[in-house]
Amino acid sequence: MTLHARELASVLIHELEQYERETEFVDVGYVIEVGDGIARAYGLQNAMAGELLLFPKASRELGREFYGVVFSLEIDSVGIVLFGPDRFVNEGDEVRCTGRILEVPVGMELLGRVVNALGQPVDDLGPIPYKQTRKIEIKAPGVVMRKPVCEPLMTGIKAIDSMIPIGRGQRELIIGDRQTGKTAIAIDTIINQKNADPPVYCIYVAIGQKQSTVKSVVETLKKYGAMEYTIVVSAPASDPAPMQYIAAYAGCAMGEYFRDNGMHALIVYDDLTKHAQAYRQVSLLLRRPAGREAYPGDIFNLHSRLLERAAKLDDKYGGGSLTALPIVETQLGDYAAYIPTNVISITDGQIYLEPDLFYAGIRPAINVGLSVSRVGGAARTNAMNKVAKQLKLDMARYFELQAFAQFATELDEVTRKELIRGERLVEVLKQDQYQPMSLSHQVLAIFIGINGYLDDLPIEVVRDFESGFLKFVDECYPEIVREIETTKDFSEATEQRMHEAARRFKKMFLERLEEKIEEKVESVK
Amino acid sequence: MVRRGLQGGITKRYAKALFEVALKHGIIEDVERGLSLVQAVIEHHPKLLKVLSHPLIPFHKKREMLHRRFYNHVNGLVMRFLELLLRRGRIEELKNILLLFREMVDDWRGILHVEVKSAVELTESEVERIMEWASQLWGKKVIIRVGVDENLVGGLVIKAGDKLLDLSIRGTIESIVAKVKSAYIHLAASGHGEEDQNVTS
Repeated sequence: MTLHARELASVLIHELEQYERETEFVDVGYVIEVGDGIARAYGLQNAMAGELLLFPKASRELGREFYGVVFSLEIDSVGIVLFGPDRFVNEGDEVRCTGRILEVPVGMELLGRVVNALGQPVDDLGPIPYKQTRKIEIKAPGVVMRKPVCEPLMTGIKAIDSMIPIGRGQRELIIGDRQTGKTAIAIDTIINQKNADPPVYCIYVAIGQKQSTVKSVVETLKKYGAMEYTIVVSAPASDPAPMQYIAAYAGCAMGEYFRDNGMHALIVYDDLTKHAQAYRQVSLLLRRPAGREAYPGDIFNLHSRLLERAAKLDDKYGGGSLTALPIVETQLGDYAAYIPTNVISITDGQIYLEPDLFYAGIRPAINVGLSVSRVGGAARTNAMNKVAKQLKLDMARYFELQAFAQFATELDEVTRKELIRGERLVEVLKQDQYQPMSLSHQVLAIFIGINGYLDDLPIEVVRDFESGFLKFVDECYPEIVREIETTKDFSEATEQRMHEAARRFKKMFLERLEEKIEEKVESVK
Repeated sequence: MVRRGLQGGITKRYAKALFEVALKHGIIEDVERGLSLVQAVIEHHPKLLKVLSHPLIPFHKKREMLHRRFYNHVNGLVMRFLELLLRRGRIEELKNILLLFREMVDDWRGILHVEVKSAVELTESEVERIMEWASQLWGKKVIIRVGVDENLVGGLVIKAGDKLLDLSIRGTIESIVAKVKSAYIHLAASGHGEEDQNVTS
């Protein structure tokens, strides 16, 4: 970053000419105790809850402004959470009221950047030339400003877009044990927004994660060209608890900028379990009464007011949207714990990931029975509706039958067929990481599954068949792909063409398969 | 400055009770005088407070000690107040209670304590002018405490209760630096000026 001296001088002159000395009384207080990222001060008689406080001495020592926020107001003292290393604050230090609420930079300038919970850059790309800031705690839009969810937010994951569709403005929880692919779903969704129309800007909020994990997420996003439209808000485990606690709100404020300016945004909170834990730490240090699992009483409101800010706005208000994908980690599948139940009840549905499925090779490891999307159905495209109408029920029935079939010795024909179909559908819904699919490909893949084109194929070749078929349609029937992509629907004539394509490809595929088997037999001989 | 701390609620309640009773009986001056004496004695004999708050010394002995020292010298209300503190085991808070009581009395009399810090020592006429200005501003009688803090570079910092007015050169410089810094960041990041002699940030 370079500047030339003349311009620097002009900035100085301009600032000095504009400079007005503030001759107003400010409220002050003094620190009584400090530690663990919190401080307690007396004085500050007119301090307001949530007000930003300045620590002049610590600012001087640190070389930049050192702030805290009023967290609790008591008879004679004020509990403050510190947004910086607490070793710079000492007993007896002066604290000044600012009359402001914490704000973070927002806007397009932040795209492609990694920032901390205060919106300051933590990558090596220099300062951010932001033009606007926004308060981190804002009341969510009211009913008048809202509109029911009506546009799809494509995750690019077959199992989700077909069975648990997510709409723009929806809040869909991703819940599961550690190492079940929760973050992978969120990252895939971000990557899939690359070709979204109208564009969807993404914000990935990493709360309490390892720095190395955040780094690898950023690298992945860069590799797939997703960083251009993404902001990463990083509050890693090494950050003080208050920073982890406000990171979610800071990220939300950045997302709201897009929402309120008629654009679309997607925000991923990874994850809210650690967010709740950071808040619990701050609350306990400030001696707030502990409730269930030692969380404070307002832990529900903490998450509900955050997730309420995700919304689809009415056209009168620009028609923008903010979709939230909060992530919650469970312990040994215990989704009846405090934080999971809270967030389940707040969100408009959940994607439940199961380790058993994950280790059985079904990835994404989505439990179809427990996953729902309460409002996304309205946002599903017609094309998807036509092929996936019965999919979720069929899948749920298959999983039920599967458990039952393990005990039965003889099965009737209908049950056997359902089992065969189910097995094939499970194969079709498997998907590799970082391979989000377009709508047309998803529709075509599910189409061959539900229409029985896979039923007489060996289970091992189902995925080969699927990928081959998609390539085949791309090359020989491009008009099908074009129609689905442009109209988000397909006509009856096109459906006939799809059947024709499937039959043609299957014939070719079986011939090739036979050849291969013969080759193998030859080689064995 | 009163160090209220976490016991703030307790000291405030005791001080307020004492003040209200004294006010009701119209003996604020007497009580104040008595308390000043108690404070002087305590400051003179630092061990006295330790003995009075020692848990192994029985209450009646402590009371006897208090009586012997103060009985004929202070107002009856002050005596009873000391006994109450003793009985409740709050005698350690006496110093803070006295400070708070003084604050309340000052407030009642319309007296405001103002702390003025300057880079160089103020002349008497300057102090008087500040006093005049402050008493006009708050409509109260002002008592000024002056101090010198060379770190301020120049100018004044005036403090009254929880209110602070920073008129120092240091404060001014700090706010100018913050403003120029933010303007500089914007200019630098928007990629202005790449020719000429370069100033690297």
